[in-house]
Amino acid sequence: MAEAVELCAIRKSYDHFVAVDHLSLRIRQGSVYGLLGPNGAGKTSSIRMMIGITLPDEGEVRLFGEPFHRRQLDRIGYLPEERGLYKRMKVIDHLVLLGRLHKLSEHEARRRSLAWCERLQLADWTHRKVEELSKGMQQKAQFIATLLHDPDLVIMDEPFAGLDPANVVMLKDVLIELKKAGKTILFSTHRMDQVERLCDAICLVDHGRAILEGDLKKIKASYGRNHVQIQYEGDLGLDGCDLVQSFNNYGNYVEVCLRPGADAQQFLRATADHASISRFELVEPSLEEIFIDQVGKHA
Amino acid sequence: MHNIWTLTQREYLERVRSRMFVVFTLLMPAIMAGFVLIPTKLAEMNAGGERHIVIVANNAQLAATVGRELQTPRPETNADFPDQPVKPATYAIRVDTNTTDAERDRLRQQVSDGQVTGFLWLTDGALQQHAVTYSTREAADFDQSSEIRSAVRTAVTRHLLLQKGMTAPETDMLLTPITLKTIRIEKGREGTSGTSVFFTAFAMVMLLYAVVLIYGIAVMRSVIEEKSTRILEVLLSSVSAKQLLAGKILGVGAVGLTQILVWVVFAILFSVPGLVAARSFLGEVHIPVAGMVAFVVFFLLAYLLYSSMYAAIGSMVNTEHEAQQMQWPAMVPLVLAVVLMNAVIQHPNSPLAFWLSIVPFFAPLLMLIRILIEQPPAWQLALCLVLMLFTIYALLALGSRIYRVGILMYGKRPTLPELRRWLRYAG
Repeated sequence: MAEAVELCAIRKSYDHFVAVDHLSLRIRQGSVYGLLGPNGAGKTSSIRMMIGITLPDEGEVRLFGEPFHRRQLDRIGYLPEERGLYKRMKVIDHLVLLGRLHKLSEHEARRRSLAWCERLQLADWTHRKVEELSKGMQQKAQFIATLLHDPDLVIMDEPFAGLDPANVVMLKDVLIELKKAGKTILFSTHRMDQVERLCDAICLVDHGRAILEGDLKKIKASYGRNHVQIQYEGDLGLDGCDLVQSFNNYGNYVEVCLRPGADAQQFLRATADHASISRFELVEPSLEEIFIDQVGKHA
Repeated sequence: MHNIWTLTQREYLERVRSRMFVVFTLLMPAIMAGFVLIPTKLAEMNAGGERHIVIVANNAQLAATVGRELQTPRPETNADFPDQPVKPATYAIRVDTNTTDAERDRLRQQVSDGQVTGFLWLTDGALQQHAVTYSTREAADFDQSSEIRSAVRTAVTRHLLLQKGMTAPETDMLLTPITLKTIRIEKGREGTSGTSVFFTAFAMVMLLYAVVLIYGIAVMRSVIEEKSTRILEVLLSSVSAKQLLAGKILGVGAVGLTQILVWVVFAILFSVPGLVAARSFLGEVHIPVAGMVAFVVFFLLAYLLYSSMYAAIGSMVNTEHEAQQMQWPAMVPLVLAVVLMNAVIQHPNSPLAFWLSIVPFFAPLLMLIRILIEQPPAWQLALCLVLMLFTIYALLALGSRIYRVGILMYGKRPTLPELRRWLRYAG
C-alpha cells in the first residue's frame, strides 16, 4: 500500500536556528504513527510542512503517493497544538464554517456536525456561543471540526494535552474506530507513555533530526528483554551493583537496564537481599528508555 | 476562491449582525448632524432672549447712539446661508451717566445677580485710551461681544462724523457695510456658495478619515483576535494565509461599504425636494453626486491601502496593547494628510496641492477634497489612481508576506532586520 505521508530529507531553518534537519519518515496508510520527542524537537515544524502551512527550505513532502498539493488538504484533518475557536460564534455555525472550508456543502456540514455533537454529548450546546462552553467541551468541538470532513489522514499535535481523563478515553475510542475504518493517524507528543500502546510505528525526533524510525515492535525487539521493572520497599543498592548498566527511578517502580550477558535471576537474588520486592518483571524497554538511550548515543 | 468567499461571508455576517454595527451606523449621521445643528440651534435659542445692557458714559447722546446701533438688526451676518433667517437678539438699553467707581461696583453686583446682562464702560477716559470695557457673565459668547464691539465702533464713528458737521443720511451711507458673497464656478455655471461647499467637503473628508481608520483598525484587531484565540492554525490546515487575509480584508471592507451606502441613502433622503422640512432644518447642505462617487471610490482605495498595513501590524504583535505602539506606520500618514488638508483647501490648484494629492498615502483625503472643492484635471486624477493602485498592490504583496510569517510567531515582536528576513522566507 502507498504511504500516506512521506517526508524526504526536509529541512527548515529560522534565522540561525535549524528547526528540522533533513528529516525523513514514511507513514504507512492505515497505521497509527507516533512522532515523538521532547518539546522543541521540531515535531510541530515538521507537521506544518507536511500540510503546507510552511514550505521546507529543502527536501520534499509527498502525500498519498503524490507530491504535496493543497487540494490534498481536504483529505487531512489537523488538530494543532495551538488550537482555538472564534469565541463569539455559535458552536454549530463554527463547525459548519470549518466544514465548508474543507469543501463540504453547508447542508452536509450541518448534518454531520449535528450527528457528531449528538455522539459526543454536545447536542444541547450547538446553539450556544463558543465562549459559553467549558474548556473540555471546546476541545470536543475541536475534535469534531478535525474529523468533520471524514479525512483519510488525521494529524493530532499533542491531542491529550489539557484533557480530563474522561475526554482522553472518549478521544481514544474515536481514534481506535478510525483506525479500524482504515484511516491513517499521526500523533505528535512529548508524552511517550500516552501513545505507546496506540502506535504501530514511531519516529523519535531530537534537535530536528530523526534519531530512530520504524516499526515499534521491531524497535523494541531489537532492544531485547534486558530490562527489569521492580516494585519494592527499602533500598535496592543499585549504585554499586555490577550487573546494572543504568536505571531510572519512576517513583512507584524502578526500571533497570542490565549489562549485556547479565543474568536476571542473579540480579533478583542480589536485590532481594537489600529490599522487600513486591514485583519483579522482565520487560521490553519503554519508549522513554529507548529515547534516553538513543539521545545518549547521538549526543 | 471558494474559501475566500466563505471567509468573507463569515467576517461580513458576524460584523453586520453585531449590535455595535447597527448602533454606529445609525448614530454616526446623528452625531454628524448634531455637530452642525446643535451649535446653530443653541445660538438661535440664545439670540431669541432679551439682553439688558447698561451703557455708562459721560456723553448721554453717544450712549444712546450705541444703544440704537445695537437695536438695529444687521443684515450682513448670514450672507452665506440666505435661507436661514437671522434672528437678531433684542437689546434693552439703559443709559447711565454716573461714572463713579461706586456706580461701577453697584453694576458689577447687578451683573452677578443677573439683574442685567452686562454693562459697557464707555466713559470719556476709556474712549481716549481706545479701551472700552464690557463686563458680563457671558464673556465666552463671541457673537455678543463682536456685536457690541461693532456697535461701539459704528456709534463712535457716527458721533464724530456728526460732530464734524456731516448730515445723518451722509453718515448712514458711509457706515453701511459692503457685503461679500463667494460663488463657486462649476463647469462654467454659478454653483453653490463657497462656504457651503467648504463645509460639506470638510465633513466628507473627515468622515472618510474616520471610516478608513475605524475599518483599518478593525482588520488589525481581527488578526490579533485570531492570533490570541489560537484559531489560526486550525484555519491554516484548510486555507492558505493569502486566502485568509483576502477573506478578512474583503469581509471587513464590505462592512465598511455597507455602512457608507446606508449613510449615502440617508444623505439622499435628506436632499429629496419633498423633504423641505428636513432641508430647511439642515440648511443648504448640498452633496453632489460626483462627490459621493468619489467618496466611495476613495474609501475603497484608502481602505485597501491602509488595511493591508494594519493586517501586517496585527500579525506582528500578540496583544492590542503592543499593537498600539506599532500602529504609527499606518497612523502617521493619515494624520499628516489631515494636517496638510488646510494647505490644499486654501490653494487647491497650487503645485504643492498637486504633489501632495498624488502621494498615495495622502491621496484619499487630499485628492478627495480637491475633487469636492474644484475640478482637478483628469490626467491628475488618472495619475493619482494609477499610483494608488500600484502602491496597494505592493503593500498587499508585502503585507501578506509579513502576515503569513507573523501569524505563526508568538512571543517577542520582530525587529526590523528580522522583518526583512521574514519577507524572504519560503513560506
